[in-house]
Amino acid sequence: MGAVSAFDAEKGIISAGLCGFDINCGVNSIRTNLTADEVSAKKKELIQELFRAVPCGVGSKGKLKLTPEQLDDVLKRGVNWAVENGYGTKDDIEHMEEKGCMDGADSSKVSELAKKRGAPQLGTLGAGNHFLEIQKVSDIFDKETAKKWGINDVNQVLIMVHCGSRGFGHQVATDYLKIQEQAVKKYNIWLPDQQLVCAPVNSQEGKDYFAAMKCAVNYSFTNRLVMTQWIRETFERVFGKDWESMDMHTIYGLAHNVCKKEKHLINGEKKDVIIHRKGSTRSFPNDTVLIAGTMGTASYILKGTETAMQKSFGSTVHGAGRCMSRHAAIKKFWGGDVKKALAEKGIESQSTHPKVLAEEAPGAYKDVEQVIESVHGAGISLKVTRMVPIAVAKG
Amino acid sequence: MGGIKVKEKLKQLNEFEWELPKGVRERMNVGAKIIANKAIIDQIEDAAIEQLTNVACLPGVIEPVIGLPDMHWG
Repeated sequence: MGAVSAFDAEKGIISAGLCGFDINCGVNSIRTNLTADEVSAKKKELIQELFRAVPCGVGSKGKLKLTPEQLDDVLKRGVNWAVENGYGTKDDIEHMEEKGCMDGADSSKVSELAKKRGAPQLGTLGAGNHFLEIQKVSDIFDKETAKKWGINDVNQVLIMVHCGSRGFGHQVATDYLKIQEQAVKKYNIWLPDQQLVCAPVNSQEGKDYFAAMKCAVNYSFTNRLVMTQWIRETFERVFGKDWESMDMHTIYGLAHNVCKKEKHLINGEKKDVIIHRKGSTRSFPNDTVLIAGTMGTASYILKGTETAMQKSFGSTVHGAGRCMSRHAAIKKFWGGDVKKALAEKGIESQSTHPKVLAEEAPGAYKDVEQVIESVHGAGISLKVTRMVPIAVAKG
Repeated sequence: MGGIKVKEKLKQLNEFEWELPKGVRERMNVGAKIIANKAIIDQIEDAAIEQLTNVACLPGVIEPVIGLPDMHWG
């Protein structure tokens, strides 16, 4: 949706409909000290190897087979589970929103079906608009901040992982859409649109959803960190160096689709509110803000601001935003043409099916440059770096 | 919404901010605001703006509901 809304933490609602199906769809950005030239020379091999290392596609299953106890641990403790099991490091945890784990996740509020779908999918990219992209820095707007985040030069290579909570989050959303549909009747809530089913935040249906949603948030943070480790191992194989010597640290990892309880200044008074970021990124002062472009277009790293606290509940954009539905895009574009157009721009691409490329064709999205000019101009997040793709793997 | 375009009711506040006051449709509890330049506003579908006004009808919502320049219907 590309929106942020805040609700009173006492009298307001929490909405499974507003948070949507891909809970904690988000982005991790990993830096390297490699140059675009070094990586471009091996881009074909690299993207094929990445495609092998990170399972992609609808319903794809991973190399991990979690027991119910292990899955419970992931849901409650998020990336802490990953690090204890050799996926990622404590340094990664320090560079993630919520440190990769939301407090208050309760796996007893999650259905068996969701757990069944989630257990085999941890460490998979999925399909749709999700991607794994090798990028080069094309512009640095704020040298000091960029340097702080380990970005020193134009042409430096970064990696972006864009994905979410897979079938697990989708099932949590599906389950709670039904529960909240009943809640709407029970609590006599008038809805302008059935998509916005919700429950009073302090009702059982509201609290249960929040606790289950947090499980999906933690699942997704863990998913991206597991893949981060596989990406590092792939680079190690292709470049014959260990990942630490390639400086492959997490710049930041964050959510684009999430509900959170936060304190904000409302009419001059600090208050607890329930924030729904739907296609939106947290933008607290000096936060790292990651904006995923679309296939073949630029992505950005921005910096959060005080202005965002005053104007937009500490939030900013998350991407370019579609200007055409997936259905319309498939009618208009042909996957083979899209791949060719990308190749002409020097971008190597790999997908499970050409249709995926058509659905996500750059022409189906708004101009990311105008989107970024808007948030930079309004001051709710400021430009730090711009990246362009070298190679992209899609589900 | 009976074919009335909500988009036409947008009030420009400055180069990057647009307001949809509470009264643009019935039952809105608060107003909405969109952060975008003119080029983006021209591309945003009416359905996406209507969706913002729907959110503004929910109980306990705090002024304002914010639309970001990547907003789209869905």
